[in-house]
Amino acid sequence: MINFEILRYLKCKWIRILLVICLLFVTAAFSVQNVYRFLIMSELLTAYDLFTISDYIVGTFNSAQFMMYFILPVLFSILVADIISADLDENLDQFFFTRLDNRLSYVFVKIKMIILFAIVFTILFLAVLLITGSFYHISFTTNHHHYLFLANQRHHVWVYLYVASFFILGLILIGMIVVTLSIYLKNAGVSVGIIVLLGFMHNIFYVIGFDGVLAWLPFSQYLFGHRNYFMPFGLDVPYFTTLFSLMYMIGGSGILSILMTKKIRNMDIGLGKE
Amino acid sequence: MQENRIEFRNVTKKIKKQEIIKDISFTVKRGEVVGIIGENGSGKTTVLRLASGLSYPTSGEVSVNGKIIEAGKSGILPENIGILIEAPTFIKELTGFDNLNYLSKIRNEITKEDIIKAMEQVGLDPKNKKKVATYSLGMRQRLGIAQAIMEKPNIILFDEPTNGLDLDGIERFEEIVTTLKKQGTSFIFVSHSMEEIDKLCDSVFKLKDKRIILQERMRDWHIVLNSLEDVERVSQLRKNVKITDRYDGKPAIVIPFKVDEDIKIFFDQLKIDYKVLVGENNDKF
Repeated sequence: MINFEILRYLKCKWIRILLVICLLFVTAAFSVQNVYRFLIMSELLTAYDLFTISDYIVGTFNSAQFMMYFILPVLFSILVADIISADLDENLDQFFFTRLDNRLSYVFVKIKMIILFAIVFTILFLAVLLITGSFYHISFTTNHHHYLFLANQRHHVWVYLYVASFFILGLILIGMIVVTLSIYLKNAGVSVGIIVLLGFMHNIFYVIGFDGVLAWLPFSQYLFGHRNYFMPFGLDVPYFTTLFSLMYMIGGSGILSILMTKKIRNMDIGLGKE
Repeated sequence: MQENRIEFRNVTKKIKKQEIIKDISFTVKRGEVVGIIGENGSGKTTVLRLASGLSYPTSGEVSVNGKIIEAGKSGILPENIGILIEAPTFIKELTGFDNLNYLSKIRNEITKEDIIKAMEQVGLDPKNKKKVATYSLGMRQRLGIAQAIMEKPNIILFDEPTNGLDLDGIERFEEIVTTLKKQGTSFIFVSHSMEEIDKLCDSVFKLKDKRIILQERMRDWHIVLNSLEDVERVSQLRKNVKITDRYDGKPAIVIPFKVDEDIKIFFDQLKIDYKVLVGENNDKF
């Protein structure tokens, strides 16, 4: 069924996909100056150093305000929010459910889609950053200035892996939140709206420095550079470790998948928004 | 003994605390065509939803192909069924064939040839490149029927199956049902009109006041009239009159009525002399 779902998504939602890609390019362009200024202000980069593509990519994936707390969660939510609610609204559900053995397999397919979308979105954003970096003539040399590279003693590939893994897990959690909300609220638009509100909340707590609250909020978990041991750049919360965020994201996704299953397992399907 | 394909045992369904159907029981056997009629909102579609696993009973038990359809731990769904409930919605951006082709990939049991055959059976051209968005209501209905039959399920559930179909579509639909019934496929038809489904059904139930009752069947009666003028008058009043071979030189017709009292009332009102020749079961009078 996953093949069917993906083909259907690409055929029906290509305008939305194009729009999200365009917005990713705008975001990436905005991020060039944003990351550069951050490195200069943090004295990680001097006027004589080359701002490299590695700094740009890792810096972008660790830009809390606007980028990770707002635009990326919202764009990902727009992509996945209605993957279940649209089936129910469009009266297509009868065709799927009568071809499956149980409703659980339907939920599993949708969860697989969220995971797949998170991976593809990450690769897509990476590609967008590379293209934007080339456009702005950012150096492709192997020099690194971002604090994640400086703080990590292992090979720089590990930093990329950590950053990407956290980002993917975070997107899965965000996808699960927005899809679960859309099922319970029977409205994908409202659930995206809640993600927008959550984004504002994260930004407010970040600006006023409520690290203790931020440590428990979902969008804080997928910024690898937010860990406590990257202080002064991370959150000043001792228990906010890699393990904490991994447990939060994996556990959170697990709980949400149970909630999603519980709702789908019992619901009267095909009654639209009644 | 004929195998029971669908069994409803004392089924009650409530939606948002409102009782839709109450304590209904009936069975559909192998190769049987069952019709369910009732007014709008009487719960006809709910019966189809319960049989297809789109809803679960509040109390009672629904069994399809020997499997109890209940929420359980995984939300059990029936196997080997085809369904068409209400106005079929397809992916508007795709052609009819592509829609069916994508849907077939869920079960992955049939070939493209099977899809082509199903589309041809309902009178749709599989090579037609028109997107479903541009389909008429009748074409969508035909596609919905093709979707329901393409995987050759042993149970097919249809909600208002002839909705939007032209005469050709209705004839093709009747032919499909007759052929599949002979092969052992069971059907449930739901309609607000008895006339629409009576012809094809082995038994018809009526949903009234949330309960289901076996409905008196319309039967074909062979009746001899005195003149062609009488035939014309009857034909003007009843659309489903068929003219047959003359009997003793007099015009004869086949006309559906539930019981012989209805025939008497009908012809007495018209002040037409008549003679009932043969009832549905070839009983001579």
